[in-house]
Amino acid sequence: MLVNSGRDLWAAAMGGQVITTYTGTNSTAATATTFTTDGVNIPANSVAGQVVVRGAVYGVILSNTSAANSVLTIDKWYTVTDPGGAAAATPAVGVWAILPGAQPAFWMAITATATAPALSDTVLTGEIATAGGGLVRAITAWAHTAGTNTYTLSKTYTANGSDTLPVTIAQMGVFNAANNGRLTFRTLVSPTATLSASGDNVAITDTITGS
Amino acid sequence: MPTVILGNAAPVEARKLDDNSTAVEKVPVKGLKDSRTTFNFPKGTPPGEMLATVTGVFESHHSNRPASWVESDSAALAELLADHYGCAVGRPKEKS
Repeated sequence: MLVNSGRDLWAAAMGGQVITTYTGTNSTAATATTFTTDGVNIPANSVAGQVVVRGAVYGVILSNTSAANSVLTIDKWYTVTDPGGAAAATPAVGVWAILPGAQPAFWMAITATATAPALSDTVLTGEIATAGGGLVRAITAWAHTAGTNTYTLSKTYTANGSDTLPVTIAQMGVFNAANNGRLTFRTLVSPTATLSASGDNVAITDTITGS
Repeated sequence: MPTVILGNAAPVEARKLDDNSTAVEKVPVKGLKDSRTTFNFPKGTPPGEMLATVTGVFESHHSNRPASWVESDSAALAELLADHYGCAVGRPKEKS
């Protein structure tokens, strides 16, 4: 199900959201989860979901303040060549830009919770987030057939020794960030899959139709 | 970022049986043939997972026929897929 927050992301991604966007040179040191724009005032939360780029790393903007020096809250810094890898080092000060559109939603999370999705959902209830586990939120494989109105997002999750087993995977959610981020799709997994031992895996594919 | 492109002579759209579920049915796309299906994987995806995902998802969500050709920036994966489908590596040349 495309939830309400996903509808907002879709509109931003397809339409641009803030079309004439922002750039500058910051002098305030960034942190692992914040970035100060220094002299650029951005209306509150108007660039949430967009991407701030500084050098060869980027952050997905979760929220932003409105002030002479707007502060962007991001989930982490991503390496452009390996967004699914470890967080990038916090960038030094310098020229930055916020890109138009929105960060794509290609992160999939799973849960044992089978509660029916609702349009107002903003989180995946009971999301499995076991540190070191094999069932945590991860980047999907994307596939599309030219000329069709659909695309697929797929991920195979393999349980490991850190996971609490057995667990029956009942639902998945798609987000635009590795941590927190905007829930875009929330869908029941059919059929459900029970993982009983380390090494058990489940392959999940969600289908997205354009209209 | 590993990429795989498959020749798709019988493209379909996977349509959800229920908006709240991952279950789908395949519906042929009118007027569309000889298409191609592109898979992009995140860095670090194990080769076995890529192979299983391409073959599984192509057949369950993207096509009614085996791939007619395959291309990839991974030569080994392209060879494995070509062997699986009994097709050539590399797309056919355009007819003039």
